[in-house]
Amino acid sequence: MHTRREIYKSIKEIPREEFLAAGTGLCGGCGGLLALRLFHKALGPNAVFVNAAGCLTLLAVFPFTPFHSSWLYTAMACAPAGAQGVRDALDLLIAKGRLPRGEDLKVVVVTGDGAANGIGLQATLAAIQRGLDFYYFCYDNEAFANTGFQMSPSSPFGSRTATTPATAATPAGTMTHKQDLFELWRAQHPAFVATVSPAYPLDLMDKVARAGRVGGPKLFISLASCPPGWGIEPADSVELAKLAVDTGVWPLKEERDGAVLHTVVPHHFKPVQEYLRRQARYRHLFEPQRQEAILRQLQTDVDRYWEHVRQLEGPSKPA
Amino acid sequence: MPRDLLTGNAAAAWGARLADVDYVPAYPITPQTEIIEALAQWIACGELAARMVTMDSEHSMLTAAGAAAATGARVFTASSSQGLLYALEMLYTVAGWRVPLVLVNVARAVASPITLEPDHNDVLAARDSGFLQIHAETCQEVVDSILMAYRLAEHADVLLPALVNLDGFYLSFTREPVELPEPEAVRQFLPAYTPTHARFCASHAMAQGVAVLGGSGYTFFKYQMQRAAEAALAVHDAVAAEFRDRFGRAYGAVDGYHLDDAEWVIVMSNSFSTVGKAEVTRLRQRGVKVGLLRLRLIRPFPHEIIAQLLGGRRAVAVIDQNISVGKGGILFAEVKSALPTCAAPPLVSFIGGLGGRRFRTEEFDQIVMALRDAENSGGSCEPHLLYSAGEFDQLRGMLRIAHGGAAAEEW
Amino acid sequence: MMVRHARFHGRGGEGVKLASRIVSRAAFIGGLNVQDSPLYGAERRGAPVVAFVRYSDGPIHERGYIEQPDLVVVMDDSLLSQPDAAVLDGLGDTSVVLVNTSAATADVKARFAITVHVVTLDVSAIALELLGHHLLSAPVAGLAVKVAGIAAWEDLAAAVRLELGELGLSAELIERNVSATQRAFNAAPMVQVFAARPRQRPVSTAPFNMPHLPARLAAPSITVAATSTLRHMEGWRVYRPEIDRAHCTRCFLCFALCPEGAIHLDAQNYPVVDYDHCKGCLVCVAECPPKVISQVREGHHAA
Repeated sequence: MHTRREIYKSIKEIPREEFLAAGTGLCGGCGGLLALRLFHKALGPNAVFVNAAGCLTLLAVFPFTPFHSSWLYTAMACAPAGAQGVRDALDLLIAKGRLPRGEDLKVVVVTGDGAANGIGLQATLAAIQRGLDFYYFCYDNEAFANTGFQMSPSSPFGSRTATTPATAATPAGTMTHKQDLFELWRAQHPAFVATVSPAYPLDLMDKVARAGRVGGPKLFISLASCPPGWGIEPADSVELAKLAVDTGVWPLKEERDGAVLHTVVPHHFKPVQEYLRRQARYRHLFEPQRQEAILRQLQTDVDRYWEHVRQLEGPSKPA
Repeated sequence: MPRDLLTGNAAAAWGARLADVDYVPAYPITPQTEIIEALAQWIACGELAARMVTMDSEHSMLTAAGAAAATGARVFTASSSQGLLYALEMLYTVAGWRVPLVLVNVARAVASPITLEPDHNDVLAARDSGFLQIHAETCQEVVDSILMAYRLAEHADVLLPALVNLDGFYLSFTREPVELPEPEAVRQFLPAYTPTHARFCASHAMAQGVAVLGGSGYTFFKYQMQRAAEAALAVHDAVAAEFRDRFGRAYGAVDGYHLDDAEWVIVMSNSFSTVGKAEVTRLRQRGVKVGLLRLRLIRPFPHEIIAQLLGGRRAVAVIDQNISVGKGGILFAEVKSALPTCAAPPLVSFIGGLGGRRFRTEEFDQIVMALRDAENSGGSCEPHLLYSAGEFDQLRGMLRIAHGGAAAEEW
Repeated sequence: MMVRHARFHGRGGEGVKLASRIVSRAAFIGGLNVQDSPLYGAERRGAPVVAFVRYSDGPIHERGYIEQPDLVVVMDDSLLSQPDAAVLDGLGDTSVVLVNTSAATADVKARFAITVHVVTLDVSAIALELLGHHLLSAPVAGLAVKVAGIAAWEDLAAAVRLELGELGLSAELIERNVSATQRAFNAAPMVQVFAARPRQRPVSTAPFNMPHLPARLAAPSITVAATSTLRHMEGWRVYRPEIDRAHCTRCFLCFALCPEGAIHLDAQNYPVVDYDHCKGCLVCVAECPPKVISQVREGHHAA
């Protein structure tokens, strides 16, 4: 069940114009690419994307760019600082009459989870604290995927990565828990903060469109299925992004009026294992033998989260 | 405007103000903070129509600076030592974007051990980045160099960011008489920045700083930077000539003192060159035909003029206020590489002034002796450290305190 | 024996590096001296990837790009039409070209004007049949080792087991790979691959004087929008999606969920696949509610 959407109510309302052209070298079935494509449709034209190192850096490889918008690649830690410079320069050039107001651009930081957490937190939290008028679109494939799928602060407990193999000493693979980027951002009181999934395009696009009504930091974390990293078929990319939501592993939420509101709540939660067993990065939890304690913990963690949600938001009501 | 007493930091702030900069991303660090404090005050009072934003680190600061320049604004920023090194990645990045801006570095020796006084390991660490580099000897030269640096950086044949260096304490906090050019005259010399290629606006989509895969592509873009830096030599000459005509002060790629008939030449840079010049005066009075060559343009490195001015001398000493650990003086190696293998004068290398350590008069006598030796021996690459037994005794005393008497006794 | 040079071409994700490593491992097990190395950019699928194997019974005083291959292994025939992949560069009279394709050898030679010896084998079909997936490395290695006589079967099988074992594949999957390797090995002819004398290179001209361009051309920037559409992606596809328009309900889902934006809606709101840019990820096939999009084995790209 989902909360009432204000702008995008039917899939037939999705704008036809492609602001992100085809012909990029990203993996077939890339969930991050789908999410960004939908994001850009809701955002509209006249944008500049400020990027930090990650998979989507390869969107623009000389002499090819898929954008009708503008693009600036910075480095790994500092895309929000680059956004600060672009936003400030646009504002002052317009204020000084050196650029017509019609030439203004929406400034969008786009990074993966690797650059959003850890190394990029400094610049991001500072930009939010300064009240920078920008969007942040984080595609979260839960690892440093572009470099070969190594553990990032966003890698979930129990998932295998290239630097957190499942061994006798480290049976879960990744032994640490996923950093809660949503709460880290939310603590800085941004204008808008939400999680999205490309498998729920209307929820994603409605959030982007509603965020466009406010100034200040407008922050998005999208689940991004990663066929090579997660060990799934490219064709299953959207289905996995849906299962993540339907099992409760990836909550779809936003902050509204100072409180967290979940925008899509499954009527019946599917068991977490249904999501895990489809991915090679969780295979060690099932083969050669089932790791019951870890599987139980993963289900308990999800159950506890939603119990807490029920306490705060009440039982789920239909839209 | 009449002459006034200004510190190097105040002179730097005035350089930015006279250049009518649009944007100042900032982050404090000793000994640079007075620059951004002055600018903050002027901006708050409406005396400078710029925007200042305190960023979260120097790495972010340089990113914001470059991004604003890439959007089409005239940008100024400042840092020092640890901050400059923290931003080092972005110096390469911003230079590769081919956007103009001026970064003032207030030279300070680099940790570890952490200290506050100046040497040049910080600014020279940036020498490969693609930033142009101008090193100043006086507070007057600071403000003049900033104005010329904007002309240089924004020139269509160059379009590389520029760094102006001034020593911490000995310029940054030292007051000297400075004549500030009239704002209207500066506006004639340095009109508003109109981007010729890098800008962001709705009607012209532009992707900047895109990935370039493959060696041939990368080589092309990197070597274009080299060509632009090479072109900067002639552009600097022209800009400096125009500056001289308008403001009456002449600057070259290098600065010579008593060079014409010098048999021996001492090469230095930055503010301690004043000390060197005073020593040259003293030695001349004693009949030693010595001169001083001050390096001013570090990037692009003016090979030809250096070869010209050092050719035919009996010997040359390079005093580096820096050290490349494991190799020796950085500028020594760069000067040496500018000289032809045959018919080059013998060269000797001195390391002095690390961490701001002051020179002693007798050390210049030591240098003259070494020059005479070098004429016969052919010179050497081995660096000679300017230091004294007295200093070492003091140091030993401190070691005794730090580690206990017994531990330091063997030394 | 002089050093022999094998150059492998494919796309990221097809197992080019692994194929080259199986070949060099087989030679090494057989007692030869070897050197293998891949050349690729950031970890991503689809881009041309090259890998090199040098093998010799003596020392190998060489390194880097193999400019003059004795053996060229083309794992993805769509690269033959992609000039920047440089698949056929540096061939000498005695070089041998192996192509993974369902096209006929004569057609490949004619279409791409290849005058040297060409061997074709539909390795993809072997992989899909025996492995259920487009995993080419082991059977390609089988083809290469047999054609060039690089190693005995036993050494090759051992190499497959060792290299795949290091990747943590299951024992069952490894054995299926060995079977696929054997199928390719048995199907391939043996051709003598001579290490040619170093071929005369064109006389080098004077050093190039890089001109100084204006910054708008000399900075790594792009001022034309959406130039990516110039790149055609059909070479990425193993399967292509085909929409049964007659039974399509025009629900818009495939248009919405194509990550590439390679499905447009026509004037009647029917979805149309842009085959120039479809990568064959098949998300549309999986997500179509009435299941009216089918996946069809992509034809070969050579000839």
